[in-house]
Amino acid sequence: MTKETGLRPENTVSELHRLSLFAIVKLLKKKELTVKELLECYLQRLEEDERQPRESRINAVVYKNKEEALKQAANAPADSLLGGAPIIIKENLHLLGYPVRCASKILSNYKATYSSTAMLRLLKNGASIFATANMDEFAMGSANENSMHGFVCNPLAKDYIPGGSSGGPAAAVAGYFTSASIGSDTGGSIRQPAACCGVIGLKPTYGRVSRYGLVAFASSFDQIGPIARRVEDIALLLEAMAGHDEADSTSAKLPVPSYSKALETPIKNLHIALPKEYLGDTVHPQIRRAFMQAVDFYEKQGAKISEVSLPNTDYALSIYYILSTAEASSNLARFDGIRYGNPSKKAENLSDLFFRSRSEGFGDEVKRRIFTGSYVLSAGYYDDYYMKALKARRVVYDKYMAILKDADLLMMPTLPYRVFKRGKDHEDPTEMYRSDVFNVAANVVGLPSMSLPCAKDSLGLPISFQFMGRPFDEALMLRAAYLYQQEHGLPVFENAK
Amino acid sequence: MEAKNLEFEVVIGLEVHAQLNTETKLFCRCRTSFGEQANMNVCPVCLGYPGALPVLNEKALVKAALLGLALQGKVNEQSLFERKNYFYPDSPKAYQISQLQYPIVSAGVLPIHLRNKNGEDLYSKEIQIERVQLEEDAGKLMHSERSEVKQSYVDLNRCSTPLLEIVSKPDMRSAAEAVEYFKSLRRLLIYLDISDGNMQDGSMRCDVNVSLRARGQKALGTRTETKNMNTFKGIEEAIQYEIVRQRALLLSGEKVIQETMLFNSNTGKTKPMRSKEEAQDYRYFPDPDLFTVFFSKENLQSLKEAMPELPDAKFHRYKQEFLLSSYDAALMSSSKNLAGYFEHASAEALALFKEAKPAKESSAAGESSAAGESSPAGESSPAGKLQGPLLAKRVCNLISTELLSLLTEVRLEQALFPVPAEAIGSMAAMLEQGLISSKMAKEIFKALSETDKTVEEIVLERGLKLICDEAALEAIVDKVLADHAKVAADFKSGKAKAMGYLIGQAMKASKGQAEPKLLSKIIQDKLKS
Ligand SMILES: [Zn+2]
Repeated sequence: MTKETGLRPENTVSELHRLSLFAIVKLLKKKELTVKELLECYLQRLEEDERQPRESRINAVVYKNKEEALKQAANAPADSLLGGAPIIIKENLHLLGYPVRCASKILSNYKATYSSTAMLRLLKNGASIFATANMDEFAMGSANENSMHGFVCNPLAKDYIPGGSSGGPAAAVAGYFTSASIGSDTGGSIRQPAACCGVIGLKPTYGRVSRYGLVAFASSFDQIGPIARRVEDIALLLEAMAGHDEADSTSAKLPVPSYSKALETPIKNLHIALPKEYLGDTVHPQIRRAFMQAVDFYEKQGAKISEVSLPNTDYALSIYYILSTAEASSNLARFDGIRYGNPSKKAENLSDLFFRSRSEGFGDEVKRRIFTGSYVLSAGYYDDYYMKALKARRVVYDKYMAILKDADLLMMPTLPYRVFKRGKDHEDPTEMYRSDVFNVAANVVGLPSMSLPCAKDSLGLPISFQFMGRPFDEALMLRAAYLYQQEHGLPVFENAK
Repeated sequence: MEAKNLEFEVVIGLEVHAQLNTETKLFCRCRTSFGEQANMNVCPVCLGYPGALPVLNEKALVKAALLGLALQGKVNEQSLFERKNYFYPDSPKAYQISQLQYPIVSAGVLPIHLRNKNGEDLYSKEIQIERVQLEEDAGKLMHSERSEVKQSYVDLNRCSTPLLEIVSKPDMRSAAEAVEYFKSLRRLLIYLDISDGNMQDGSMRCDVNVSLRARGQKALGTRTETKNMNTFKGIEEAIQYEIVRQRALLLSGEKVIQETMLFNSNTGKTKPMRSKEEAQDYRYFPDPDLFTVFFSKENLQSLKEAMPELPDAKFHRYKQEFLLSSYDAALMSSSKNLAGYFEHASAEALALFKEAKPAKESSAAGESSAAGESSPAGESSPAGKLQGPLLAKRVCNLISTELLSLLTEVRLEQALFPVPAEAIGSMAAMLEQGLISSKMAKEIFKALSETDKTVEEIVLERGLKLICDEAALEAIVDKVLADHAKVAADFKSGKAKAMGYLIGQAMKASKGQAEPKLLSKIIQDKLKS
């Protein structure tokens, strides 16, 4: 295991891509590095990737804008948190002038005419955004195989999935095309791909980061969050984006701590709870073993470990699929072929135009969820599905909160299975849905959650664990993760198969 | 006027849509102003851009709560916005943010007063309000006027402007009641400064639900809903037509179909809309972008304390305090601006009258006020309290005979009065003091409305003032008696009629400015002496 240091590698420019965000910021501030040389390094790597044959092309990035990024970096305020450091964002985030296609044919011509709050905050804090990343269409999927831009390969092993829906942002970080990226997480869409690609991903508490300007999939689940290779990078980016926004009624009016400064504060009397439902037979033995080793690490560091029960775990998945599809069916209704996408030429009248344009514009997975969502909201089914799920959501939330009264953090594997091979999910989409079970709970209850890699499996692919914390206490998770990174070290995957 | 419905009872309910007069839209900060170029008052939120999020305009919520209070309704501490999903080009999000299960106001009541053409009370009744909900308006579709151009255009300026939907219970039993309800509600909205109530621009419109049932039957009959009515006449005609149509159907043993109708004001008939919309499932669900809305008890209390006097209360107060007739009280309270004008003028009249009173103590009470004559009283005596009503009545008369004929509805709504309220007050005081005659008042009013001059200036300039000076009048009378000695002699010899002639001559000699009571008293005294 090696540690990424904060120092510029002595040897060559070719190692620039390995720098962490934290290191980049330092070097930029000391003027030992320029945004331009860093960008050129990333872009060169991206161009190299673009020349690869499809089967081995990672395909993480779908749009680049060097000039705009340089302008943003030049405009970065003096003494900004990020000092002009370049990052990549998922293609469902609005940044003025950038395409926001959400990997969907129906938005293939859509460019942002306004900027999201989180992106504006990143710019204000000195980020430069030089590319947008591939994703599953409208953030629906767990393999990044539902995309108008084509699939994304896992940089660690190209016939494996990078996870989804933020497959592009995670693969871009794992493939060293950027030090960090911004994704969105509706039911694990940051943490699951981070786990598949062996990097770190954090989903903030619902309401922590403004959703204004994030193309909504499921409004009561969506959160924007960072992906990076180092805990301090995650802290920096969260700090840069978080905080109340008057344009988002669901954003919380709470102060934002300096996450990056709090990292080294020692944690006293840490109490970690392990929900036994997340350690059942479905968990692969290699994963269970690696997970328990991580638990041991914390125990050795003085943490109290206890086993708890969350009997509603299974319901979380049903709740998630009912409510998220219901919200999606309404959120995606605006894409009607008139304002967005191409109006179908075969249409005979107005409703036929809607019908045909949407049929032609949306991919299968998106259609499946729109159907499901429309169904659970329809007259006669609303009470049995939507209302019941809404009530159950409250019950599950209460259960989690009861456990978090005693425990500071919940800890569980991010994925129960090993990383899938590409092309697997086409056979039975419900199998893919079921694999979300470990991730959706955090979105169902709105709690912060963070995944970090802790080991390699026998194929050299990553195994990760995740924390869930109390509402708006991302700081504690970050400190616990930082402790692991510093005292144990994170696995490095460059030699993965 | 009403269709004869001996065998059927008419049941009517109204869903009134009123545009709130907030400066900005319901869920964004775009202006709500009318008449701008198409698609100028828009932003990512009201354009329904992906990623844009609604933020509730608290001022709209407060206005809705205010209406709830005025309707003596239940203003809910918690209300919820839901999405009504439907595809249509005037709705850029493909859903409307509205309220369904938990509206801001549930239950309320609006009293209505039916009066005949002369303004005399017929009867009053209370119409129950089922709910008042807050929602956003849609955009406007404009279709090409040339039939060969198969294109439509969308203007989203109106999109997301705040609307109140006020749903009554089916409590009305005639077109007249429905129209009166609509009028009363409109008056209330204007009084409370919630809506401009402008019907031509569509800021106020209603859907009319009409059904018939056999007299004595409890269950409601099948109803039709006539959409988008925005004239009193239209509402009346549409209801009358539906009554006749449904009655004919029922009498011939057919069934009324529950459907949505459109009213054609040219033919005076309703016609079913294409029934496609009927089957639509709006798939309502709570809007996840907006949390439950809390309206605290404290907020409600402060609203209550700031609640202005409402038309009904004013009507009763005018009757009690000013002893106005029902007709006058209804007229003066019919509009917030007019009521304000009336009250202002009355207060001014009383103030002026009191100011002048000590000097005028001895002079005649006035031209012809019955109450005044029987009790020419000081301020402190109980009868002195009648001075207010007397002056108010004079103000009321001046308003209804002089002012209203010069005032269009639009000017009234904008409070553009041709004559300031103070001037009316001053004229009323002068009338009451016997300083001017009604005829003079007319002339003064005309001059006021045509110039910028004050009452005093006009009076001075034109010499429009009654002569109350006894010595001056005696001089006039002496001259008249001297000039008409024969007539005076006739009177003395018993010809009572001669008196009228002498008064006329004296009045003529004073150029009509003699205070008539004092004048006739002097003549009488002189002749009898
Ligand atoms: Zn707007």
